[in-house]
Amino acid sequence: MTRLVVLILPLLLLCGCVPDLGLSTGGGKSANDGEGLNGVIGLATGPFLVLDLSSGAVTSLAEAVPSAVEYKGTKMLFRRISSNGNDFFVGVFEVTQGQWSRIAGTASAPWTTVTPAPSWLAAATAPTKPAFNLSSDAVNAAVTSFNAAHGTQLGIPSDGEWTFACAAGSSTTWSWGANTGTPAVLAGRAVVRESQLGVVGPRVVGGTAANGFGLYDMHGNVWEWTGAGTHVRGGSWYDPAWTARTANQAGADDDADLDSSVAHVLVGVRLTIKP
Amino acid sequence: MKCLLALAALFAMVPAMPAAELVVRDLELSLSVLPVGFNYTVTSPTVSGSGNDAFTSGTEVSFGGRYALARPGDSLGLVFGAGLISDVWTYGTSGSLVANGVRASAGLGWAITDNWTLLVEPGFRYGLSTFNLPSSTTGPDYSATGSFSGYEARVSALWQVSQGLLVEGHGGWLSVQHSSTSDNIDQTIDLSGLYIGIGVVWRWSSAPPRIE
Repeated sequence: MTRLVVLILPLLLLCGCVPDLGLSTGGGKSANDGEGLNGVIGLATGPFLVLDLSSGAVTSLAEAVPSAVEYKGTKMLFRRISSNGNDFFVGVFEVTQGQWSRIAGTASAPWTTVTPAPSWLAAATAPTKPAFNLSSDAVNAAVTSFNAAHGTQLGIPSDGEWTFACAAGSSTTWSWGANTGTPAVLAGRAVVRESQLGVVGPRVVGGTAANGFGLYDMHGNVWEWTGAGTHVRGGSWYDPAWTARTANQAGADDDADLDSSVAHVLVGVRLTIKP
Repeated sequence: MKCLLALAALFAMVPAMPAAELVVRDLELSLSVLPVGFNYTVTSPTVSGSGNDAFTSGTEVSFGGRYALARPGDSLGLVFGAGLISDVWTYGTSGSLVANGVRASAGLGWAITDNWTLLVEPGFRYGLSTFNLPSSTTGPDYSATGSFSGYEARVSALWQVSQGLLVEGHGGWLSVQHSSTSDNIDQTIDLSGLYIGIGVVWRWSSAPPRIE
């Protein structure tokens, strides 16, 4: 026995085995702190992503309460959309003015530079109302700068992604499964001319019912840039309901491509993100 | 490399030791504590991630047999082994990686004395594994099934308690990769590190090899 100990002990010491058995949890990350394998699996499976606009941190959520005011200001909430196995994440809300100032910088407030200033401009300026008077180029520049600074992958939805997200599985004119949009039906579902009842200006995001994917304001409030920045979709508070149909794109008055460098007073944006 | 040199030095001492005859015809039930640190990769349509993490604990229960090929009177010989393994790693509060498979080994045995035997066994393992994560604040519950393969080097010391009963202590190095695919998510977990364990051995025969 003594002989064996004499033989084995030097062997273990030679191997460096004694001080480093590696049998504890070591320096690994906790399984529940949102990092490590658990965190990555969460990003791959979680139905929601949250982007902290201050730090750029992206975390996944199994459940989210979209009405939380932080998702209209300091953070952005994204919903996983599964399209034939090609998942993507799209913003639950249109980008608010509060969010825009965090993405593009506090000095950036394009909605205040509309000239001549319409009478409704002051009422339309609020942190939780959608950013508007945005050009596609301005959106791309802001997103590119933010991504570079924070290592994120924000983007603008493609035409296909936007349409798929808006339809939410429906094949009807409207995402709620109807082909007609009477004022009574539109009320509470879309911020368009027929439902504004004389009120002018965009409304606080998320004020109407979400579509089947849990996305708000896909119909109305402000137009949203899509694709290469030459199309807008979704209609606006100013425009008639038919322009806010799921399948409609471009301007309210024609189907011509828009100039990506030109800001439009009725146009905002909804962003996508890759975790 | 240092381990190999040390083992070589150890076996070089054999001629100086009292002679004992190597007879290994064993069935063994053993329990091991496994390494817990791992590297991972995750690839899905929306995210690709990699990094390192650690399980909370890792244990293995194995059952198998060993047989030594040695000439009559020799204290050294070849030892072959095979068996079933069942591994469980716990992750966080209720996550887990469960692996069931087979292990095979081929190495050297040395009968140090009539009561002590030392085995050095490189081995290979293969089987099926399932990774489970419960639903949490970051995502829904997740389960992925796949396969694993790996290799190991084990040193075992066996002490004969009675005619057919031995107790065993072992330690070694294990490297194993678990691969799985679920819901368009490809995942790999690479575990490696030292492990230790104990076992109970039934030696069904102590008769020396027959002299023809």
